[in-house]
Amino acid sequence: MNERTLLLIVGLPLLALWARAIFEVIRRDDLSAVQTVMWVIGLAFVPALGLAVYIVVRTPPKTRVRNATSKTNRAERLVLLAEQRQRGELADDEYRLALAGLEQTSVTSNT
Amino acid sequence: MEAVTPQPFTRKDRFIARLVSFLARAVYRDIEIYIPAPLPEKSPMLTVSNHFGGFADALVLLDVLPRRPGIVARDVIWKIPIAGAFMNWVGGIPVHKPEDKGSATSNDEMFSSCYGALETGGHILIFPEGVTRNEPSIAPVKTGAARIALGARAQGATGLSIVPVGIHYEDKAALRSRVFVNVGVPIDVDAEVARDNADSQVVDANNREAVGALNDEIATSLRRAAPDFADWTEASLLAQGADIVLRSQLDDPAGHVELGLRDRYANTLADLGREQRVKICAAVSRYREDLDAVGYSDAELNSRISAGHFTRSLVVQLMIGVFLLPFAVVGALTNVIPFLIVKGVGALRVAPSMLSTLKPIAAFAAFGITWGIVIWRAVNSFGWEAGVIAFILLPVYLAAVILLVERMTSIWRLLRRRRASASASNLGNEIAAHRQAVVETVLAS
Repeated sequence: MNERTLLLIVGLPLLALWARAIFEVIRRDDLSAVQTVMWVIGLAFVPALGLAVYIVVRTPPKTRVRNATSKTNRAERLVLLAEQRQRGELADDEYRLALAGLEQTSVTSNT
Repeated sequence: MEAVTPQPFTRKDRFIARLVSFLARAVYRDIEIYIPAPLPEKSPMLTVSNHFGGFADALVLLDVLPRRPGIVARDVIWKIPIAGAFMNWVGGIPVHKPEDKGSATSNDEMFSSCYGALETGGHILIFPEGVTRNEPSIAPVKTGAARIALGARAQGATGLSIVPVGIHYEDKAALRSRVFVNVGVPIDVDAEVARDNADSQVVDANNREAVGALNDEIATSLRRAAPDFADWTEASLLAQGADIVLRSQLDDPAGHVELGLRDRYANTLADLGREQRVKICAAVSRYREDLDAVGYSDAELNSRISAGHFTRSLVVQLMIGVFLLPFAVVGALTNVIPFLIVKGVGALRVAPSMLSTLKPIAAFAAFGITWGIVIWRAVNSFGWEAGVIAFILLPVYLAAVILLVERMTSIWRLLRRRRASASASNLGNEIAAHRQAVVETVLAS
């Protein structure tokens, strides 16, 4: 393996991760000013070790959470209606009525 | 055993959260969670979950639940050397089952641990079926969860909520598949007790009537949140029916229906009367036969891709693929041995829930040891900095392999969609009629 290949395979991803870590540290709002400065200094002067430590201790990414107030499309509204009927919050005829309303919007949005 | 009181943001908690998140994301491609109503933040919470995937269930829930729970688990796990230490470390609470011989004979300690945690506003996770399951349905729910809830309430845990949770695996025996966690509507235990027991008798873990009533409530809400079908055939047909109907409601007729939405809708279909379910299943199987005959999926059959869009996507995908290739080659070379080991474990003939326990453990052991060796070799030949760099880059190379494979599948799918949209116009109206029948049958149910 020549030097250029090594630089590509090892250097490029390392540089990308390092740059991403610096940007992330600067943009994170859960760190105090002192913490941000400490992280940037650490990442700048001991890049490899600083990056390794940062990857291990940084807070985990959030899971995709959906809740009932998220923006809904027609498919989601259909599921919400079916669930309300299942829980007994909607009677059968109320469910039919709401479903017909949903179909109506589907017709208008298609034209 | 000390009471488990989760103190958020201690260093240990953060480390566990980080580790669990890393492991869960390594095992599953996508973890989705649906929370219809806000979960209690400070008041005591008892989470009840279905138990499809053994160890994987605990891993997924530890990752997605907003507050780290104390997990009630069979005491036999503590007899396994490393697993026992791990359970103590994450705050496991051993429960003794009569069919497991030896050790504790009463569960007083388990109950008092749970009471202690709930009294101080903590969070307990229990799998109330008491067994891992290989059927797509809920086993009879044992009274343990209801007894813990009423006992804790009697000891002073006010404002206790029971949160039903259904874990839906796209394919629980496969690594890198998708998982959906469906959180149900929380049960307010105080309100439940006030409604069922107007007369002022003592309501605690020994009040059989109250335990029975609460247990029924838990079972009902668990069945709504978790997969609960008559059998695997019905489960698969209703899921496909839900998928087709939801796709018909999307603006893009070839769009992607999220696993969570599909399974929530399929759950409501499973609760319909037998006659209606049979009708839906019949309509879906007729359309499925059509799809099998032409060799396309529902989305592919409905796709219309313009030539320009097709070429653009193809070029972009190929460019990303070429960029990833060198890193993926390194990743493939370093990870081929642990990959084969995990494949070997996957070929074992054991129950799917056992496999979903064994596979992640085998994967962590095999990949961990291999990476350890690579890092050690790097330190020996190039010094400690090379070891640090190897530690940073090994996951990156593995990610490159995974991304490249996913890229290639999406190119393959693109080609199929293009072919399908070219030939769709030649397909008879019969298939379209069968598809419409599925949509109408489901919506009329």
